Amino acid sequence: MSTFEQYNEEYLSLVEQITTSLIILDNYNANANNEDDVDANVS
Amino acid sequence: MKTIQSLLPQAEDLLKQMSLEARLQSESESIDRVKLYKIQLVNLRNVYNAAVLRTGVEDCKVDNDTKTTTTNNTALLEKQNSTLSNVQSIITNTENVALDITTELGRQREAIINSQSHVTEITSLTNSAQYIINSMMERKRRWFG
Repeated sequence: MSTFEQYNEEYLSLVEQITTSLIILDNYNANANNEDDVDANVS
Repeated sequence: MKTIQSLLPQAEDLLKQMSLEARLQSESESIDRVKLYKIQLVNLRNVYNAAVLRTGVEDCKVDNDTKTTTTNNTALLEKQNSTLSNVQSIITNTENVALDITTELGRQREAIINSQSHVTEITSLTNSAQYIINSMMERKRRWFG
């Protein structure tokens, strides 16, 4: 495997991790919004 | 969030290395791939920044616990400020006392120097008197044997 291909593999792995983290962050934000909406409805 | 914060620069660094490598190889396919990755990474960073902004907005909705903690911290800071003011006042007083002591010591030093000068003068007079007495004794011995 060439150096470029090694970097490529590493890069793809990093992008995968970043994407997963972004999805988690997005879910967290969505949940926080939902909780606020529920709180607003209750009060 | 911290994970993404550290992963993004890593990916950017890696992309720089890939860009260098692609240019060295002069393969158009690799160069094009790096260009695509760059766009992809910019997009990911934008998505991340937007998510951070949203999270920031969420964080701004301060709950009661946070308010209480902030109030406690403010009270603590005010108390520390007051303590510091007291300490500063004590230091100023101590400084004044030290200045007074220095002035007093200066006065005493001057008095000691004056006394020393008098003592030197008296010693000189005593020496002169001693010399005169010795001369008189010598003369008496010569006259009366």
